[in-house]
Amino acid sequence: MDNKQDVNDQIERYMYQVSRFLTGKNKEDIEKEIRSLIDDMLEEKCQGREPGMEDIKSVFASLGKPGDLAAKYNDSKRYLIGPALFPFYRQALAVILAISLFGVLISNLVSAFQGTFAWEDLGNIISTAVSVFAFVTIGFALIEWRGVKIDELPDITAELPPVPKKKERIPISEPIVGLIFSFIFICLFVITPEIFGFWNAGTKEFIPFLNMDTVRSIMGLFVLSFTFPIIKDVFQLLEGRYSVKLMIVTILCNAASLAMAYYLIRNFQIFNSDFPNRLSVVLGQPDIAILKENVNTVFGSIFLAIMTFAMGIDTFVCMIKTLVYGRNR
Amino acid sequence: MTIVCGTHYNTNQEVRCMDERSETLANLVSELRRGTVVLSVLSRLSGAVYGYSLVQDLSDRGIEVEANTLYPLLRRLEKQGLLSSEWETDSGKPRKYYMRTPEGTRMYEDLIKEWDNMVEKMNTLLEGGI
Repeated sequence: MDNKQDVNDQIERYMYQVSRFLTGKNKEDIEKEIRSLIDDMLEEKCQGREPGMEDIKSVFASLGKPGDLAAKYNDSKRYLIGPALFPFYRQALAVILAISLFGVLISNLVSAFQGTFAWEDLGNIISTAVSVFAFVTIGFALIEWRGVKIDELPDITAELPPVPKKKERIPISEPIVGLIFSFIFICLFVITPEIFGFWNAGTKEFIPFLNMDTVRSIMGLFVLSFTFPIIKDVFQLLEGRYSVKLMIVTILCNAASLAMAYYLIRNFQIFNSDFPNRLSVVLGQPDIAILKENVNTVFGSIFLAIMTFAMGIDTFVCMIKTLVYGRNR
Repeated sequence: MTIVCGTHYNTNQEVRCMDERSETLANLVSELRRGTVVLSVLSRLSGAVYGYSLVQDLSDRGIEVEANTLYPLLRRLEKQGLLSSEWETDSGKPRKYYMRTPEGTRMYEDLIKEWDNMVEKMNTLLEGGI
């Protein structure tokens, strides 16, 4: 009698575990069927005698662990990122992780150079790695969940672009280098914005070019404005060749960067009004101090002129290359 | 792998080699069998049969299918409309009986044709011997 109770108790325990892993509307029906299966298996094993613990153990052994058995009934995906997406995930993780860690390393080196480095800062490396890992994984899990297909297109031949000739291709190194620089720049800007300035070898400190209070209060806007070149580089990386699409993205990103720069310069006191004074002292040129009153206008205009020129050249080059190499794409 | 197998200096190594080999063989055979399970199951369900008696029936005919593979498969085939099911409680023990639907029978016939075709082609392919 005790033996039978033990066996029944084991069955209840097993079924409880199975039910924990089962999902869907047929849950109860599946449980009922597994119970009847266990009964049948025990019956066959015992051939009329009372089932014992050894019998139930061997039945469970052939059914497998409760979680594994339940999983065979569950249709839903049992993975975050499926095999089709996994190679892309691994690639993206490697590139993004390498770039971010490199950026953190550089920013640690800079703070070491400035003498503000603390050993605790090395924790940044781990926290950056963990957050990058989490973000990339969540991103890909969402793509998997939403069912975005990267490679499985209904008519693959219709979607396969012709192999670009050598000159039409954009070497992968170009956007990657761009991304690395953007990332290092953003890291430095967020962590130590004061290093964008004039290095005073005498006092061993930077005379910041920018107004630190303004920079810190509108850091989000700054970072937002730095994302446009990143979008451009990522698109370049994906496209891999000159095309009309890439040209449009380039024009839009450059225009957005420029608009953002105008907005920031015209609406905020982003330049350090103390810069001309301190520079004049360091260089022994009192004339520079005159700039103090309208530092934002003068620096702003110079900066915008340079930026407009650079963006103009970039856009122009991209348009020309598109006309020559990517007109039909 | 080949190099390790080629060196017969160490008996342990040799044994491990044999283990790995038989494991690989077992995996390949089970992969080969996997595709035939549906056809085996459909072949036995012209009348109503419950899961465990199907396991035994197939086993008696030399086709070993684990219950934990067969039961979920029966449900999947039912979901695809190839099987229908009904609980039978009259005999004391509640059991779920499965049988082919008309669509299941049509699919079964199509699968037999595919199977014959495949066997023929495979035989031609393997005729050359090793």
